Amino acid sequence: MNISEWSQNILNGNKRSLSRAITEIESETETGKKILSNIYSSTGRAQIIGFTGSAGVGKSTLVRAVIKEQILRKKKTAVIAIDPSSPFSQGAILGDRIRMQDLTNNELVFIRSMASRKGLGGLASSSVNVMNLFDAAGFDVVIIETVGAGQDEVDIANIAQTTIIVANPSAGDEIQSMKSGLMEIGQIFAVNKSDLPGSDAALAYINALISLATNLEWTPISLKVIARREQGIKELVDAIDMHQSYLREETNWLIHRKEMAKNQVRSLIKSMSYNNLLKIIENNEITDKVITEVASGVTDPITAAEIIMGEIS
Amino acid sequence: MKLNQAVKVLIAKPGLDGHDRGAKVVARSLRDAGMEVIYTGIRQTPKMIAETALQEDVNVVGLSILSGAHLEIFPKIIKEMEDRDININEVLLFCGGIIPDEDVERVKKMGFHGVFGPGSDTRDIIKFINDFFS
Repeated sequence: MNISEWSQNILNGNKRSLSRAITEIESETETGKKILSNIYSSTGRAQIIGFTGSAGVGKSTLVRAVIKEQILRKKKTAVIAIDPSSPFSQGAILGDRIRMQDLTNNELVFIRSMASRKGLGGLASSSVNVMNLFDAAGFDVVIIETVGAGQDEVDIANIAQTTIIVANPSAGDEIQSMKSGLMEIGQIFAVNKSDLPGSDAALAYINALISLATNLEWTPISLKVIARREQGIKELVDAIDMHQSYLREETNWLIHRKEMAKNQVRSLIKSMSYNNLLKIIENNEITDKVITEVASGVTDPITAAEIIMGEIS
Repeated sequence: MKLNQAVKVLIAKPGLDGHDRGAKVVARSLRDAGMEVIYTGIRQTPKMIAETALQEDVNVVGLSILSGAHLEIFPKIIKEMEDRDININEVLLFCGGIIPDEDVERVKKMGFHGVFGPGSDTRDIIKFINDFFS
């Protein structure tokens, strides 16, 4: 099968072609790049929805409930479920899928697990490319579930059109919700496991955060959900659709598309240049010498980094 | 067969038995050997396993079964995979759980290159997979 046939099969909705192309893209092969460039002009239709929040907050279970609701609405839904790679072995347990496995056979659903590999900020470096592939393949909704995020893993906001922050009751006090980072990037806040005590307080903190924000064009929506019992999910998907129509009808969609394009290209440049730099630095004899000097206290880390950067530029 | 990427493994529990300690131990040790591992959870139908292998484009499928239904259910899984245009000569198949000695040859003939029963050393499973891809 040549690459233009392969690309055409993806656009025609062939699952096997799509799945194999994702592997090519993940492995950063020339074939993957060519496929992506062939199909890119067919992107731009899908809703790109990000789900983020700490580990164990219920992201995968919530995504499952959202897929079910999308199925009821006859929306073809793709999921990119990202889990962390081991910094030691590079291995990974891709455990998000197990929460959604009962939806595997549904004709409208395609779930793909990804290890974060060298990716930073809660995503894998090829997430954005895989997202474009799903978009071109004709999915109405592409859901990206990040790695369990800390306070500043906010890269999802650069590639998703609508970002949902998943929170839990008893996750902290008012100060936590005032902090910068994760709490600033959401268009929708979902307090999951809201049958547990503390959900009203959690919602009140989030609402206070929203009401005090002065620099927002879109006023974030906050709601309570119980993903495991599929409660509040219709309201959540309605909120997503509301934000999507706001983006597409009330703002200048072209300006928004350009902003997203800028973010995508930037994030690719960031990971390309970081990986290239690492390659150069690790094969550089000056690096070892300077690092030895830092270890023995002769040179400070800032000076050392400047010496190495100066050496390679 | 050579791979220029991380080895992606599907560990699946077909049929109705719910004993998945073995499957989880294998999943964990393959992770520590640098592989990317997806575990389906228990009570999977042949269709679910084949569809997952399709969507995830895995290089390896490991089936764990303790119910005794392997001679019934394994051919169905292979058929479902082939129906989805997965070439089972390109995917490494292995299995574990309770496979009686007299069934091992039949299971191997179906296309399962490795059979790892109780007491298997996870290092042997890792070596078995790595040898296939080197």
